[in-house]
Amino acid sequence: MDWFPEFFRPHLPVLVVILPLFGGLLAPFTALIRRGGGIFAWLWTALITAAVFVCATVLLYDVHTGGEAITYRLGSWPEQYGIGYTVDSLNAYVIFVVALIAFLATIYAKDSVIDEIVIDRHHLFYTVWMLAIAGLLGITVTGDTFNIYVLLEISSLTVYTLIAMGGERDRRALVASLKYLVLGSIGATFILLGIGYLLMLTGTLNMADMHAKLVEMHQAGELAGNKTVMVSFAFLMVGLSLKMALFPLHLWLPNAYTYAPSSVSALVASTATKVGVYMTFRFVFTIYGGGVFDSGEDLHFLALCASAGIVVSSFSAIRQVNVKRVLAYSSVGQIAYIVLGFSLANQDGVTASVIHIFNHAVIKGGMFMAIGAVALRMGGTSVDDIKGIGKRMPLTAAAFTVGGCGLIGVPLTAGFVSKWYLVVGTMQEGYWYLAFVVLLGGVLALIYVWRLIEMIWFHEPVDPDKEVEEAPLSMLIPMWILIGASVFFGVNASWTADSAAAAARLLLAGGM
Amino acid sequence: MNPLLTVPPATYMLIGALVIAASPNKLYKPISLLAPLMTLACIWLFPEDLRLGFEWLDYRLIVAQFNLPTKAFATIFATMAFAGALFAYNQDRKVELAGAMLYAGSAVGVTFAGDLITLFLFWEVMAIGSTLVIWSAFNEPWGDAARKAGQRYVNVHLVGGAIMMAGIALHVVDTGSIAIPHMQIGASMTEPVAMIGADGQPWALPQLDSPAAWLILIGILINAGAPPFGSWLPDAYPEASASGTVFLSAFTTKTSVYVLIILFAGCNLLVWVGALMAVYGIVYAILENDMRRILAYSIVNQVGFMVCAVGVGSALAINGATAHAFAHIIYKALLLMSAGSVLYVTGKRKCTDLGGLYKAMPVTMWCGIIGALAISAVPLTSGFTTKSMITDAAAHVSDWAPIVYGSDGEGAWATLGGLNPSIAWFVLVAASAGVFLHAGIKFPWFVFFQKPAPEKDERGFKDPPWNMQAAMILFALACVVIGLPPGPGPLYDILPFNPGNAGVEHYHAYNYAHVINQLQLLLFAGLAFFLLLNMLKRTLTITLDADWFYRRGALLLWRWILYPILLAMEPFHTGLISGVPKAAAENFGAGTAAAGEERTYRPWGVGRTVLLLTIILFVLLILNLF
Repeated sequence: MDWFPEFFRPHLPVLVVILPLFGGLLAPFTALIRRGGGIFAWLWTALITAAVFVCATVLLYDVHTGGEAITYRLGSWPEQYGIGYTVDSLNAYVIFVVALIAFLATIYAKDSVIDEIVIDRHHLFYTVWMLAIAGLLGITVTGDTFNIYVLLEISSLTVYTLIAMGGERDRRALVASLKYLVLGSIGATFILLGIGYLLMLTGTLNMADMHAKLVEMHQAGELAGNKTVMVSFAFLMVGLSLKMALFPLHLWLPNAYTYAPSSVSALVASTATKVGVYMTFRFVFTIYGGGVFDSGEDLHFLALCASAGIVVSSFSAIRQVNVKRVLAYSSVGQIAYIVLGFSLANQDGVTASVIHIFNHAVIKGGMFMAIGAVALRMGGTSVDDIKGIGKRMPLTAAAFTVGGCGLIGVPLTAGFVSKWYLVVGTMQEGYWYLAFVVLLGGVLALIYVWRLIEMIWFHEPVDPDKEVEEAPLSMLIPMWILIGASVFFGVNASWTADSAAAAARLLLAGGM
Repeated sequence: MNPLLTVPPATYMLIGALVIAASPNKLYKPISLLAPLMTLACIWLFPEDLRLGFEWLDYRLIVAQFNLPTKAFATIFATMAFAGALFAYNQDRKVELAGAMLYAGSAVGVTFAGDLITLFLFWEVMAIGSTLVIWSAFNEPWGDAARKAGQRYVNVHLVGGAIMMAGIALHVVDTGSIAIPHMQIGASMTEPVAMIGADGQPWALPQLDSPAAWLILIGILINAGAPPFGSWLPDAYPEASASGTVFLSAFTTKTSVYVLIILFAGCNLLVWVGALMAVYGIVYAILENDMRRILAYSIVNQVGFMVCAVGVGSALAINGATAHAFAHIIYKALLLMSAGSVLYVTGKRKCTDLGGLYKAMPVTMWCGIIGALAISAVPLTSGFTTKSMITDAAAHVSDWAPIVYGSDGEGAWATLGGLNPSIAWFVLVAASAGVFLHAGIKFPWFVFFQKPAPEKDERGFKDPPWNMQAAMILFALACVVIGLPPGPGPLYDILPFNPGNAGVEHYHAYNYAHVINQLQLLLFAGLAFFLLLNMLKRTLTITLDADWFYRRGALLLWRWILYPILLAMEPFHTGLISGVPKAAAENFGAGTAAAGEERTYRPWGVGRTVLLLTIILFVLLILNLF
C-alpha cells in the first residue's frame, strides 16, 4: 500500500474519526443545494465513508506489516494528560470491519432512504448517520477510557435518532427508540461509574497506563480484597452487557432493529453491538487482564447468560412473524456466541469471538440489506411479504438464503469457521455442555432460517397480481459483497483466522 | 501433468451445479450430463499417489486423495449422477438437477476426502443438496407433503451433522490430528484388516472407547438410516419426484457405508446394527403399500448387509461391502427408475391402485424385473456376486476382527446380550429370503401384474420417453455384466483389496454350494409369496415407524409434561417479573399512583430490564466477594 500519501499516513488513526465527524457536521449544508433531493447528502456521505474505508484498510495493513501498535497523540500531548489513540491488531481489525460495513451500508442506503425518509430530512439523516459512524470508530480507535465514554454517548445518541427516523413508516419506532434511549443511558452511566472507580484507583484514564498501575498495585499486594476494583469491574460488565445486548439485557434490541429504517438496521446490527463487544475485550483483557483481577467467576457467569441467550433467543426467533424481528433475535443469539467465545479465555475461544465479529457483521449486514430490499419492493417485512419473492426477486432471495446458511453455520460459509473454533475452544476446556449448546444453537438457527427460506422459495405470493421487480443495483451490489465475503471467508479463512488469532494472542498475552 | 486433472474430481460436478442453477434456458440439460462424465474421467485419470491439499485455519486439509475404497465409490457415484440426469432429461427440473449435482458432487468429495474436516464439509453440503432434491417436488400433486418431509429431512440431517461435528471436534482436540487412517490387509482375505492411524499407531475409533468415537458413529448411522434414527429415509425419499427419488436412493446411505469403512472397519457393534437394519427393512417393506416406499425400506435392508460387513471387518468383508454398495446403487436406481416411470406415466403411487401394466409398459417391466432379480441376488445378476462376498465373510466368524470393547476387554458388544456371533450369518441369510419376498416379487407383481392387463389399454399408458428407457436399459445391462461368472467382473479391479495387491486371489462367487444354496432360498421364498398372496395383498394402511415416537412423543411430552410444568411455574415467573417491581414501587415511595398507572399503560420492558440489570450487578458483586 505504498500509493497512500506519506503526508496522511502518520495521521491515519485520527483520520478515521475526524473524517466522518467533520463530514457529518458539514453534511447539513448540502441542503443549500435545492435540487436533486437528498442526493448530494448521499454523495457526500458515500465519499466520506469511502475515504474512511481506504484509511481503515491502510491502517490495518500498516499494523499487520509493522507488527507493533501504532500510537497517536492528539495535539502531541503525552497520553497521560491528553488523549492517545492506540491501534493494535485487535482494533485495526474492528475498525476495518466497521468502516467496511459503514461504506457498504451508505451505498445501500441511497434508494432505501429515498423510500423511507421524508425528502427534506435526508441531509439530517446523513449527518446523524456519519456522526454515528464517527462515534463507533472513535470508540474502537481510542486508548483513553473517558474518551470511550464520550464517543459511546455520541454513537448512542445518534443511533437513537437514526432508529427514531423509522417513525414515519411505523410509529412504534419512536417507542423503540425511547426505550433504547432510557436503557442505553443507564448502561452508559454504569460504564461511566466503572471508569470513575478505575480513575479513583489508578489516577489515570489511559488504558495502558491504567493496566500498568494495576499491575504495580497488584505486585505490591494492594489489590487483594480491594473492593473498588471489584465494584468497578461489576459496573463495567453490567453496562457493557447492556450495550452489547447480552441476554437477558437484550430487551431493547429486537424492537430497535425491527422498526429502524432498513439501512439503519443493516448498519447498526452489524456494527453497534460489535463495538460493545470490542469495549468488553478491552476492559476484561487489556485493563483487568494479566492476573490483575481474577475475573474467572464473572466470565463463567457471562458464559451462563450467553448459553441461555443462545437457546432462548433462538426460540423467540422461531416464533416471530416479522422477518426483521427474526434477524434481530438471531443477533441476540449470535452476540451470545461471541460472548461465550471470549468467556472461555483460551486461544481458540477468543479467536472464535474475534472472528465472529467479522463473520456475523457480514452475514447479518447482508441479510438485513436483503430484507431491506424486500421492504423497498413489497412495502413491508412481515412473513407475508417474503412469500414467493424467490421468483420475483431471485438475487435478493438468493442473498438471503446464503446468509441464512451462514447463520446456521453450514460448512463453506463463514459461520462454520466461527462455530468450529467455538466448539474446539469449549472442548479444550472440557466444557462439552457448552459445545452442546453451540451445536443446539445451530440446529435452532436451522429451524428459524429454514422456515423463512421455505416461504421465500416455495410459497405462493399473497398478492400474485402485484408488479414486483428485482432490487436496484445500488442495493444488490453491497448486499452481495457482504454475502460473497461470508462465503469467501468460509472457504478461504486464512486472512480472518490469522487476524483473529493475532488479536486473540494479543488479548491473552498477559494471561488472565 | 494436465492441469484439468489436478483438481479434486468433485469440482466439475459442483461447478456444474452452480452453472445449472444459473443457466437461464435449457442449456442446463446437456450440462447435467456432461458434468458427471467429466467427473468420472477425472476420477479415472486422477494420479494414484497425488494428494491435493490446502491450508485452512490451523490445519492442512487434503481435499483429494485415493483411499482404498475411493475408486469404486466415486466411480459409481459419478455414473449414478449421469444415469439419473439422463433419466430426468425430458423433464424441466432445473432446481432438482442443480441439487442433485451438488448432492452427487459432494458425495464424490466425501470419497476423496483425505481428512476428517474435508469429509465433514462435503458431508454437510450433501445434506443441503439432497434437501433441494426433495423440495423440488413441491409442484407435484403431493407437493405439500414433499415440503414437510423435506423440512423433517433437513432437520434430521443437520442434527446428525451437529453430532458428527461434535465428535470430530472432540477427536481433534483429543488426538490433535485430523488425519484419517489407512487400511492394510491381514494375512489373508478372511483375516481382519489393520487400521493404522497417521501416527503409525492402531486406529482407535472402532474400539468405541471415547465419546468422540460414539458421537461420530451416531452421526454416521443417522445418515446410514439405521433404526431408530433411520425413519427419515422412508419418510422423505418417496416424497421426491419420479427422478428425484432415483438420485436420493444412491448417495446418502452409501456415503455412510464408505465413511464407516474408512473409519470404523472391524467395529463389531456394526454387525448387530447391520443385522437389525436388514430385518427392520424387510418387516416394514412387507407391510408397505406405496411402491417407492417399499423400495425405500429395502434400501435400509440392503445397507444393513453392508454395515454388517463393515462390522465383520475382514478384507473380504470390506470388499463385499464396497462391491455390494456398487451393485446396490445400480439395481436400486434401476428399480426406482422403473417405479418412477410408472409414476410418471400413471401418476399413481400405491400398490392398490396399480397392476396390469405388463402389456402397456414392457420395457419398464423387464427392467424392473431385472432390478428385482438383482436385488434378490439371483445367480447371473450383480446382487448374487456381491452379496455372496458378505455372507461368506460373515460365515468366517472366528476371523472377526479381534476388537474388544470396554476397559474390561470382555468384548461386551461383540456378543451383545449373549447373542452368538453366528446368529448374524443366519440373519443375513434369512434377510436374503425376505428381500426376494418384498422387492424381488412383491414389487413387480403388484405394480405390473396382479390383475389382468386389458388387451388394448384405453388409458393410453405406454413406456416412458426414450431417455428414461435409455437410463433403465443402461443400468439393466450393468446389473447383468457385474453378475456374469466368475465373479463381480470388471468391478473387481477397483475394490479396496484387488488382485493388483499382492496375495489377493480372485473371489469366486460361482461355486456349487453358493448357487444351490441361493436357488433353494429363492425358490422357497417365491413359493411362500404365492401361498401367502392373500395375506400380502396390500390394503390402504399407514405404518408407524420409530419416528412416530419422537414426532408425536415430543408433542405429547410438551403437552402433558413440559407445558403443565411451565403453567405451574407461571405465578413465580409473574411474581418475579412484575410482582417484585410493583411491590418495590408500592413500598419505596412511588406509591399507589404508579401502581395504578401500570394498569392503563402496557409495560414496555424498561422496568424489567432495569430489574435484571440490578440482579446481574448483584450477582457479579457477590461472585467476587467470595
